[in-house]
Amino acid sequence: MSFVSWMLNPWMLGLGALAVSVPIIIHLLNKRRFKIVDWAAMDFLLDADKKNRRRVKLENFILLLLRCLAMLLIGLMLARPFLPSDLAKVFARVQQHEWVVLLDDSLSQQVQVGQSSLFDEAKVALKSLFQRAATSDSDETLTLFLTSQPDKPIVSNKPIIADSLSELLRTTDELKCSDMSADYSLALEDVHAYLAGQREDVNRVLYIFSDLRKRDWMSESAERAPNEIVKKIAELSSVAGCFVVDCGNDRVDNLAITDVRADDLQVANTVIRFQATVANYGSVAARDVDVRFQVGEEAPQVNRIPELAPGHQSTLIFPYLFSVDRASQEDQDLDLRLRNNIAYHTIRVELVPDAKRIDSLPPDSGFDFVSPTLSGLPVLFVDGEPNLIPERSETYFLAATEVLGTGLLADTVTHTEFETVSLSKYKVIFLCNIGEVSADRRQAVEQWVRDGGGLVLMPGSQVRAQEFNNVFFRNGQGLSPFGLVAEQGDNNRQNYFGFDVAPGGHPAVRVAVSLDNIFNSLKIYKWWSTVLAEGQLGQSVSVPLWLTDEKHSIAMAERSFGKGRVIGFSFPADLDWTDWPPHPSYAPVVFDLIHYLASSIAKQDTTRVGGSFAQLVDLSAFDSNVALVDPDGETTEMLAKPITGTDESSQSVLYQARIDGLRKRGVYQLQLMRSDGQVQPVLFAANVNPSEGQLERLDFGQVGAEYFGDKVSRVSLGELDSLQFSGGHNEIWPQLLAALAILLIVEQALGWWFGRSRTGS
Amino acid sequence: MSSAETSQKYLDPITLDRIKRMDVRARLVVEGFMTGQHRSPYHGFAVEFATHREYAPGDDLRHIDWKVWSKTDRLYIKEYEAETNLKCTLLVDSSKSMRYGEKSGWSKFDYAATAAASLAYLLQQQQDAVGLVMFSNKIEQTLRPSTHPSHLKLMLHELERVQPERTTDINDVFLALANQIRQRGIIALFSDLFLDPKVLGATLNQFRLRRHEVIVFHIMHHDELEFPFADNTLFRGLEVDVQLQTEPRALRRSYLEAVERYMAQVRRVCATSGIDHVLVDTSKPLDGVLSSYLSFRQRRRKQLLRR
Repeated sequence: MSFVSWMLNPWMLGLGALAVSVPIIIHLLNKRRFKIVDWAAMDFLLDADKKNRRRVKLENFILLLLRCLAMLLIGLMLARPFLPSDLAKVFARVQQHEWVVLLDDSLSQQVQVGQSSLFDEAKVALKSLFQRAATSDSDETLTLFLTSQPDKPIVSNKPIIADSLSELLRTTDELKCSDMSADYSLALEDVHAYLAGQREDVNRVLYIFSDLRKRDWMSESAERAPNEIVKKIAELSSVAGCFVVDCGNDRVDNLAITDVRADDLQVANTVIRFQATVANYGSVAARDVDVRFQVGEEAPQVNRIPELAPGHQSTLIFPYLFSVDRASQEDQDLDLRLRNNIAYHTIRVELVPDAKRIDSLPPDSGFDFVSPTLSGLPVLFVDGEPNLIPERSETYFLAATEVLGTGLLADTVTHTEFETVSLSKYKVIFLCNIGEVSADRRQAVEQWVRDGGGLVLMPGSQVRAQEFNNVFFRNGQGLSPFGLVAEQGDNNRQNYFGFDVAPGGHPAVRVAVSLDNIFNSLKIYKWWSTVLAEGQLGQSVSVPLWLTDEKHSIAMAERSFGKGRVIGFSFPADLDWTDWPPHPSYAPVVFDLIHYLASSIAKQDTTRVGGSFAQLVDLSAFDSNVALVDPDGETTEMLAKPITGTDESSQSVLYQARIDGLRKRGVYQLQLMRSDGQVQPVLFAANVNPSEGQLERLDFGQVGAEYFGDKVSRVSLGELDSLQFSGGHNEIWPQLLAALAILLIVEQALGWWFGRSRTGS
Repeated sequence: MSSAETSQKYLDPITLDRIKRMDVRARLVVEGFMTGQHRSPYHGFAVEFATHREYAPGDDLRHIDWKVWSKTDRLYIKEYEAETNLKCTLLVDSSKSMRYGEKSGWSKFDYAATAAASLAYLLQQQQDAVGLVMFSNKIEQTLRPSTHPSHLKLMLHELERVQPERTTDINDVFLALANQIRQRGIIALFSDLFLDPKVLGATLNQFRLRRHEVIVFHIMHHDELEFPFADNTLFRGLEVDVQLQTEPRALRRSYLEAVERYMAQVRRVCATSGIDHVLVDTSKPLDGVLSSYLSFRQRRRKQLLRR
C-alpha cells in the first residue's frame, strides 16, 4: 500500500515536506546573524547561561518543532488526504486500495452513440482507467461487477499491474452488454454482501458506472426502489468511497415494440390474430411508423401507424393463418399425430428503420414471438359404455364433431384404456358416463387439471351416485362441481324440459344464445339431480345452464380447479336421456366448449429477459434430461425436476424443466428427449423488458443529494481521469485545517509564554 | 529656562558627554548641583558650634556669648570646633571593565571620572585636600591629597588622560594603598566592583581598620542593571577572554537575579564593615553622587561630634 495513494495531491505533501526545512533554515540563519557586545558583567551572564541553557534549548526546540509541524500540516492539507474507513484502521493495517466497479450492462446501455454504444464508451473509459492505474506506482486491485449478474464478480480483487493489464483489457473488451434490465437494489445488495465477506483493512472505492436512467433508479416500484437503493448506497458509502460515474446521454427518443400477443389458442388452419403494441418513449411524435410482421422466412406484412404521440402506445393487429395440410396427416397414426401436434412458428415483429426518425435504442425495436400452433386440438373422449354399434356408444356424437376445419384431434378410449393413457398430450378430456376411476388415475387427472387441463364430466346411467361422489365430488374437494343425488325425470320420455341460460351466458353457449330460441326445441327427459358443496357457488363454481323443470335443476356447472377447469353436465352425451346430441346446436356448443377449455392452458405471459420459462415434461414420454439452446446457439444441459408444491408421494410423472434468469433476447429452443430417442423441440422467445426503453434520466443534481447524501458524488466519464487516485472515504482537510489553526495558536501562545517568562517582570 | 532645569541639564550625563574638558565638566556639575539646592549646604559647616565653656582670663572677648551673660550674668565662651582640613582620597577604578558603554556614549569610566572630578572640585571649593588614586590590577596613578588649586587641575588632567586597559585586582592594590594613606580621612571608591564580594569586604576593611571613612560609589551601567538586549547577541568579555552567543531575552531573568544576588552580597559586606554603598546608574544624573556624598559627610560629622 503506497502512502501517497491516500491523497488527491500527493505532491503537495512533498512540497510540505520541503517547506518543513523553512523554519529550520530561518533558525540557522538567525543563529548566524548576531550583534557583538563587549560585556563587562560576564560572570553574571555566564551564571545565567549555565542555569538556563537546557531550558532555552528545549523551548527553542519545541517552537521549532511546532513550526515544522505546521509546515508539514499545510502540505498535508493541500495534499487532501482521506481515510480508508475510519481512523483506527488507517493506523492499523491498511494495505491496499481496491476499486470496486459496478458496471451497468443493462439494455439501456445499448443506446447508440454514432457507431458505438454507451456501453462501448464506458468500456473505453474503464480501459483507460486500468491503463493509468497499471502504469502508476500505486497499488490497486480491481473487482468488477455487472448489474446483470451481480451475484458473482467478473473480476475479483485482481491487482492492476502491468502484467495483468492485457488480461484485464481483454476481459473488458469481451464484456457484452446484456439484454437484462438493471436492478440496482439487488446489484448493490450483492456488492455489499461481497464486500462484507472481504478483508476490512482495504481502502475501497466503489465506482458505479450507470447511465442514470430514471427507470433504474426510481421507477416502477418507486415506493420501494429509491429507499432500497438509498439504503444500500448509504451502507456501501460507509465502507467504501462512492462515485456514480455517469456514462449515459440525454437522448430519450426511442420507439419500442413492447409486446406481441396472440389469441389464446393458436390452432392451425384457423385465423389467429396477433397484436403488436408499439410505444413511443420519446419526446416528439413519431409519424408513419411502419411495423413489419414476419413469420419465419415468409414474406412479411407491413402495417403503418400514421402518428404515435410521445408517451403513447398503439396496437396493430396482424391476422395470420398457419395452414397445415391435414389430408397428409389423416393417413398418419393418431398417436404420431398427437406427438407432432404442436408446430412452433417463430414470428419477428420489428419497426422498419426510418432514417428521418431517431430511435436511440435499436434492441427494443424488434420482438420475437413463438407461436406454438396446434395442428389440431387434442381431445380425449373416454367412453364409459362402449358399444359395437357406433351410434349407441357414449361418445359417438362427441367424436362426430371432429371434422375438417374444426381443428380437433380427437381420440377415443374406453374406461379401462383410460387408466393407462398419457394425459399430458391432451388438452381436453371428456369422461362420458364414467362413475369411478382408480385412485392413481384420479390423482393423475386432478394433477392434469391443476396444470391447466380441461375436463368435462358427463355422468349417465352407468354411474352410481355414491361412487361418483367419492371419486369426483368428495364434498367439494374433488374435481366435480357438483355431487350426484338421484336420477330424475321420466323414463317413458313423456315429460321433458329445456334449457335456461343463466344471465351472462357462457362462452360455450354463445352460439346458442346468439341464435334465438335454438334451445327451445330440445327435450331433456332424464337428468341427475345434483347438490353443490356449501359456499362454492359464486366462488369456484358457477352454473351457466339450468333446466326448466320446477326444481330448476342444474344442467351444466363449471368449477375452476388449479389452473384448469371442470365442466359438469347432469346428463350423458348419448341419446339415452336427451335428444340434444343430434340437434344442430350440439356441435357448436361442444366445439366452443373444447376451445374454451383448451384456451385456459394457453394463457401465458410474455416471457421477458431476466424472467423464467417453465415447460412441463411428461416423464412417461420424455427423458428428464433436457437441453436448452439459447439464441446464440449455445447449448446447456439441464434436468427436469418434480414440480414443487405437489405431494412428494404422488409419484407424478409430470416434471418441470424450468429456466430462470433468461439472459438473452431471442428465440430459445428447449430440446426434450423422447423415449424413442428422438428430439422434440419446444420453442419460446424471450423479449426485453419494455421499460428499459424509457430513457429518461435521473436528474442527479436535483435528487442526487437528497437521495444519496453528500457521500456519493457524480462524475462524468471525462472527469474520471482526475479521480483516478481518489479514494473516497473521508477527506480530512477540514480537520487538518483545524489542527493547523490549533498548532499555530499553541505556537504563538508558547512563544509568548516563553518570552514572558524570560523577560520577567 | 529656570535654574532648576539648567542644573538638571548640566547634571545630565548626556549633556556632559558633549563637554570634553573635565574641569568644565566638574564645575558645571557642582554649580548645577548647588543651584539646585534650596539652601546652600556648605554654609554651616566651616565652623560648627561645639559647646559652652566658662570664661577664663585670656580668652578672646569676641567669643563671649553675650546672650547667655544677659540671662545668667556669667560669662561663657562659645566654643567652636575648628574645621580640621579634611583629607579625601578618590579611588577610581580604571580597569577594562569600566570601558563598557563607550560605544553607545558614556562609559562607566567616563561617568566615574566625571563624578570623581566633580567631587574633587566640590572639595576643593571647601578647602579640603583631595587626592586621586587610579587603579586596575595595580596602582596606575597616585596624587597625594592637597588643597592646592593647581593640584585639582592636575587631577582633572589625569582623569582625562587615563585609558582603562587592565583587569581589576584590588587585593594587593588596596593593601598597598592602606599602607600609603597614613592620615585618617575619607576614602571614596568609584568602581563597578566586579569582584568577589568577600575579597572586596576584606580589602575595604583594611581602610576601616585604619579608621578611614569609606564611601563606595558602585558604578553600574544602565545596561548591566536592566539587560535590555533582545536580538541574538555575541557577548565578549572585557576583562576575561570568554565569548557567549545567546538569546539575551532567554537569560534576562536569571541575569537580573544574579546581579541582584551580587548586589545584596556587596551591600551586606559594606554594611558589616560600616562602609557606605551608593549604587550609581550611569543613566541617572550626577547629582545623586554629590548629594549622597554630602549627606554621608554630614552624618559622619554628627557621629564624630557625638563621640
